[in-house]
Amino acid sequence: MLKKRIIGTLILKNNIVVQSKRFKSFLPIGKPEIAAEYLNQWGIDELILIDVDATRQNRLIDLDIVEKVSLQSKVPIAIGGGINSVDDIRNILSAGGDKVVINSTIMHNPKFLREASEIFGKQCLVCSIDIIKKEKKWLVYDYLNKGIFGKSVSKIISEYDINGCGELFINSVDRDGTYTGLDLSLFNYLKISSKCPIIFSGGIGKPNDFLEGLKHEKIDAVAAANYFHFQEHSVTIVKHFLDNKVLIRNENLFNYKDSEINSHGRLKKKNENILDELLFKKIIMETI
Amino acid sequence: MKKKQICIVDYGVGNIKSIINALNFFKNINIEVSYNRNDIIKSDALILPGVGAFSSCIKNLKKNNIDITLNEAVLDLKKPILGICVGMQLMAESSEENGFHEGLRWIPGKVLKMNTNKFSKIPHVGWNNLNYTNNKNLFNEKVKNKNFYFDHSYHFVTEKGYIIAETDYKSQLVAAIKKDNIVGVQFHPEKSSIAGLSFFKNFLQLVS
Repeated sequence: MLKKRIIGTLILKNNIVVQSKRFKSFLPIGKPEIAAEYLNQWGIDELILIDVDATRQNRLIDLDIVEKVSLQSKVPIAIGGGINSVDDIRNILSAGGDKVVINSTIMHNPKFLREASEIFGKQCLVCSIDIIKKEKKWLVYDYLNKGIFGKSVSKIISEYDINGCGELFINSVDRDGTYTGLDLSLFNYLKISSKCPIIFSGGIGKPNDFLEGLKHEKIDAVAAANYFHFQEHSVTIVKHFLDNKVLIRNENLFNYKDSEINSHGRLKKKNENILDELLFKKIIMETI
Repeated sequence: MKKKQICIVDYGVGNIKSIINALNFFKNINIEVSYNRNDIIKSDALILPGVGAFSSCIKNLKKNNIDITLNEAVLDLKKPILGICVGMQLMAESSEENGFHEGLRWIPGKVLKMNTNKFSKIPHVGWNNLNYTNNKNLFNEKVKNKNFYFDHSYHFVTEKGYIIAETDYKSQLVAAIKKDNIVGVQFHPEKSSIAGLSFFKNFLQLVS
């Protein structure tokens, strides 16, 4: 059976990973290749790397960074930022990206998807849509013009479906960086009938938020950015929490099987007996 | 000990870097990336990558006569070859991706579009386990219960005798095929974390 995925998003500004809040304020975190290395070791299923300034500055994401980050990743990595031609996609793939994430280019020109899917196959194309809630209605957000885009969410999704979308990457602008949980009400408001897999993102603040998202029948993957950067082994701990509750891949070389965590995803202290035993336990190194 | 010479067939498509990156883990091999006849013929084993549409892949292979060199290396000289994703699909008789296209015809079978009545959402993307394996060398205890990364909208349909692994995606889906020295996998071992490296290790052990 196919597993539900947990994806780590790395948001880039000036080639530094940043913490983003509501697409407005940004705080620096560190080098993307180091973040990628850690998330891999901790058992992430996939990475998304996006340069959020690239399109506005009319350039492609820095290919040196793509190369550095992909070198650290043993899982697939989707790359976004400033893609508006077939050559851009080709350059990203040859720098080490496995898929590309496209947002504003296809919003204005969905036909570009068709052109790209005929060359690279649609499995290579992740279509990103930023959505915002206004008076109980979900609308498409245009991050370049910092306003509402003219077409409805369902119209955009059906256009992408027809033209060759591989995956939909839906981000909630209101919840971005707020740690208040995913806004799943979107799926009640919208009859999303897309045949392609959906990655949902925006607002993850605790392990249970992943669970609520992944349990949803329409959602195939949940992506989080800020959540993963501020706790050691964050991915491993989330997967420990999710195991047996939802079908995921949990086969990291280390895990937290004997540990308990609280509702915020923090580890509880192990009981004294286990700690005593650990003192004399021989741990054998795993080899490939 | 002499290092094994592994040639990744470079025909201008796909993400070869991630395969090099994964194979760099192994110290007992030399990796060459080339489409040159000499490099292909002198190697001990070949890897046929493939990302993108079948039609553009097969066109590129034929453009530089790489298909002729590969036929010689694989069918006459019997070099072990591992096809990955579209690299595996190229081994079929034909594909219906963007029209009808003839493949390398190494393994009887056709590449067909995945149908949503039979399978779940298309493309089949993400981590899936192999619920059927029948080759103990390639899918040993360490590998056969692990998850692998898939990302495709077309699938290889072939006779039971050539299938060495399947995965469950609402219906059974061919995950790996083998005929003599020819091996193909629908998943991406180079992007399947530790399970993928273990699979590469098993393939490299078949190379003498």
